[in-house]
Amino acid sequence: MRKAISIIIYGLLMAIVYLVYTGVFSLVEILLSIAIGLIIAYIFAGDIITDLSKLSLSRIYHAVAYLIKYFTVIEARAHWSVIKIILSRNTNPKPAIVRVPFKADNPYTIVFVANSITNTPGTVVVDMDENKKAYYVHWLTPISLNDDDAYRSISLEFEKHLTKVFE
Amino acid sequence: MRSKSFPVICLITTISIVLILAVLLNLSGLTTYGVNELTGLAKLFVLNIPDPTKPWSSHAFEIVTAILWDQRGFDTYFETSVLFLAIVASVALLSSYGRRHMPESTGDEYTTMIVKVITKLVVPIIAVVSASIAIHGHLTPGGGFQGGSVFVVAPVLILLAYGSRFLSSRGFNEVRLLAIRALSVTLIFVVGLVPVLYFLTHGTAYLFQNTYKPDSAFTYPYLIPTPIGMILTAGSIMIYNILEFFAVAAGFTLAILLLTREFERGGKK
Repeated sequence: MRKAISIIIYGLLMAIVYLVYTGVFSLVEILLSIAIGLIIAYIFAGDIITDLSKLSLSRIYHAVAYLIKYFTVIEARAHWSVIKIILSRNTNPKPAIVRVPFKADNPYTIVFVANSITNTPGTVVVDMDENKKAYYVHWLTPISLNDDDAYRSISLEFEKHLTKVFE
Repeated sequence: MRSKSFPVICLITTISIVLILAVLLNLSGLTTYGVNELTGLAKLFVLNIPDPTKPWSSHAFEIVTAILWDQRGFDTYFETSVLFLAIVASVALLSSYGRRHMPESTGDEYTTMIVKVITKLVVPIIAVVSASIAIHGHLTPGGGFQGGSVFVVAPVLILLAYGSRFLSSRGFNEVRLLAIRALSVTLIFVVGLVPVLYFLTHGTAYLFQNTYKPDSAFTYPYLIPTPIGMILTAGSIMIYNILEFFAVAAGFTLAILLLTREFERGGKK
């Protein structure tokens, strides 16, 4: 039963992807998209939806709120700090690779925090260790090489928001 | 040794190459084109294939796909067969020896969680898009081969992120893939043979014929009325595209699966 619901939800999501890619919204096309979405979901939904009981409106709200904040405020701040370095006459900002620990357990949280770090200019996740629970981040303007300081200034904000979405 | 005049020489060379190419393109007429300047054969195709009032129409908007499956469908069938033989040859080469004690990889040793999760999210989207490309092959650029090739990106990503065991555990084993491949190619030929049955019982029809011709009444249904609206299938072109999609997707997935297994064994017997 639970599997059937997750297949239907994921199938409808895939149907939307199909419709947006195709660009035609006739009734025939919508029925076709649902059929194809359900076939795809039958194969993949079990791997992608790990816990259906976590699905709730508040999580979706947090996800949308995080996306809006990320692509406006956080990205703008990170871009501005890199623009300052580019325009300054300091040709060696002394970058470093620091270890940033994470506390999350869910793979989706861990991956999306890592991608959030990489997508903001100035920080790139170059590797991660799942057993030691740490990212290795190349940091253009390191404030501190200490693990906790790095955690606080790089990933605390991402992890705080994404924990509400995925954990 | 790089002299001081080196950048100047580079600049002059670049500018002169650009100028020469521009003059050549302009003189050869490649920069301007229009329907009026089409050559004879192209004009024949462009004016006849998409126009349902013409006797030689294929009732398909995508002319390239229509030419591939209608005007030269027999040729395309043998192209598909050549690909099929190549896949059969690679199966014969790769799966014949040392399959028993092969530890199949789970991919843990060469990817991180980031690669795995993102692959998991992207793969279904690739599959959906490839299905759209194949199904609309007679309406928009694309078709069965193109859709199948796009689909194969998904198994490649899975094989790189998770290793070959994941694909096998999801039912993509080599026996089944080869069966899908063989069945699709056979069905393409059967669809092409149907006009011949018509020829034997009723009257004139041609091998791999799609819609009616001036001297032949045989036609696949190209515009199907349903309660929810008209469906334009362009005759057999849509059937061919869907079958070719499965044929190409299964065939390439099989070849890549076998190659990845060989790679994971690292040349050990």
